[in-house]
Amino acid sequence: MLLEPMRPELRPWLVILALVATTCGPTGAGSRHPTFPDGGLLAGAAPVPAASFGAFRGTWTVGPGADAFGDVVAAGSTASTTGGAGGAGGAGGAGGAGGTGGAGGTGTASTAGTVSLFAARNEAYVVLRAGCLAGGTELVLEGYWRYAASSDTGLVRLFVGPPDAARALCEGSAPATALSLDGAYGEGADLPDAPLALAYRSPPKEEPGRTFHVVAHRGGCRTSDDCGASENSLEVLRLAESLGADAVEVDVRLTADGVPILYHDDDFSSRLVVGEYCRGPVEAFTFAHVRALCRLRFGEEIPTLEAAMRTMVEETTLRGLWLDVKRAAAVAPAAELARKYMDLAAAAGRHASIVTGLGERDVFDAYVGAGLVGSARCLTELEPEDVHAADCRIFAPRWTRGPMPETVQALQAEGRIVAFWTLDEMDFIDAFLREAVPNALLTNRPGLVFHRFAMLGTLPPPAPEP
Amino acid sequence: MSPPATTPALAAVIALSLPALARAEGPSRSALELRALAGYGGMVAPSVSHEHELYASNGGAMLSATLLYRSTLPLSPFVELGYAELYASRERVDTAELGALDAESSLATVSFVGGPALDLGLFRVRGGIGLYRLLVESTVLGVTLHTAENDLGWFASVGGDVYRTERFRLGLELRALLVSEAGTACLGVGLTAAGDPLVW
Repeated sequence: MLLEPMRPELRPWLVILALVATTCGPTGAGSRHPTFPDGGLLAGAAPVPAASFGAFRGTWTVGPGADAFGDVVAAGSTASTTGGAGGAGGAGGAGGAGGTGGAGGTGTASTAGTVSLFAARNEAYVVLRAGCLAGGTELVLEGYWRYAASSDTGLVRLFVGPPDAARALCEGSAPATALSLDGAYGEGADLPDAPLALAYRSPPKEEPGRTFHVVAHRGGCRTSDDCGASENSLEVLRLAESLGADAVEVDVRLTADGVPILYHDDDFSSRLVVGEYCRGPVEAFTFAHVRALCRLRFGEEIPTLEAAMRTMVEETTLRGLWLDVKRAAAVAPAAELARKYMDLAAAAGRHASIVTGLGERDVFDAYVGAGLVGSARCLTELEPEDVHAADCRIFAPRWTRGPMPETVQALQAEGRIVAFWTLDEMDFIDAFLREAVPNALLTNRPGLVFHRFAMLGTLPPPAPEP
Repeated sequence: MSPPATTPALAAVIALSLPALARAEGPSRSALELRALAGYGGMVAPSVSHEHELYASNGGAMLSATLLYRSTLPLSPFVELGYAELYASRERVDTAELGALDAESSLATVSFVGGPALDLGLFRVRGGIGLYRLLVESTVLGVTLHTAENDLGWFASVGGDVYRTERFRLGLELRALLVSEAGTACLGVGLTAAGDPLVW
């Protein structure tokens, strides 16, 4: 034994070592959303037709539960048809009497759809999945609620009423009467027991050719916001629509061997990745090293840009992808991939705008220098003159420059789009919606922007899709 | 009123230390002390993916050189330059794009920390804060990556002398490193040799 020859005075070291050992350890992962035991009622439910999800879109008045979610929430929906084309998410729903019940879906049965509720109070959002019960006479929504600015979360279960409306939605037809939702929400993993009831209030603001885009930052949400997936992951891209976005921004970097990947920071660090060997400048790592050594904070692979585009086009109904290109060397490969996947989306009958973001002067110069002007779609954060110089369809100024209503109107009159970044505070969101009437806002709080636009936003002038 | 709660372990430390404290003599002169440590340390709960490991070695050599100013005051400031091998492994990871990848990797740290030391009889307790540079070397598909990350970290140690002359001491030390920004913790033990090149 190593300690046998030691003097008696040395024995306390063993005790001290034990004390020290109990105080050291790695940091843990973030919280996750609760789920119903054994899958809840949805485990035995029949799928809801994709076309029915649009009926939930619009605003809803909250009765019981308003203390947690506010008096009015805005609702969005997605409905990806498994193996099919298109979803109902972007189409105008109308849950009110005589509404169309949504459009744009194929009618193929789907359980992949979501109904999301967005509130200003507590920046709350609710993500629900739907299922038909009792032979299609009842429609239940189950999922979780979350306060975006905290880790508070819990379960939600709502039943769609009245019964004839629920039956109609389960059959894939438009309900003849206004929808209502009755149920409860709970705290943490506890089963819901606090009453929650909502009544349909108004349809969404949508007109042909006039669209306001909620653009989610870093693929859907930041890792620090813990929305259920790491930022810039394929998983968060799949979540983004249920969080309120219809477009997302992702960060593009190149590995040492020239593979475009999604990652925000200059360096791999424990802020965004796990893996004891995954440290240091991103550009120092080959793609093989990235694959072998690195995982995102919640365990996902760091995606290639190509995988992200494929996921966006094939697995979501997102309408836009903003590539925030972090290095000049990544501009040409990013623009090339954007062209390829926009063509693939168009061939599949799916609209997907993928724009190359030119946020820094060297990136802008690389874009122009590579002869991409006119052959790719771009967005610049620099100056309005640069929008014209590079023939970009989108001008994306930082919010600190103010709403700039005259600049916004001038660019919109040219058929261009203006998107401000990055707005997360309600007062500022409201001010920009009112004063600038932009085409899009980039945000870490897509649900809040969704809600604020539904409440007080004005549709921007008609513009071609970017 | 009930007495304050004291863990049995802490009580044991205090009880075993009392004889040493009773014999201790306070320093009577100021001195610059140089202390070198050579030992062995390893990580606490490394966040490597053990499921892919073909081979792993937690820990390795731990070396340091400490410069401490000792005076008649109870606390003595010190600065320390350290090196510790933390982890080495060979992993095989299946990837969709590149198939199975073998990665031969190692992690070490070079640190520069400073803080106060407190002499308690035969024992010396030190705590500090400083810069940790985590060094990564990894070979995948024949390409070797050398990269590094600078982090804020903490240091704590408990040591004591087992042999002592007026100007030279041999001892043992237990130490804990916590690279807080990286979520990396390490424990080590080593032999120390110290001398006072300057006494006044």
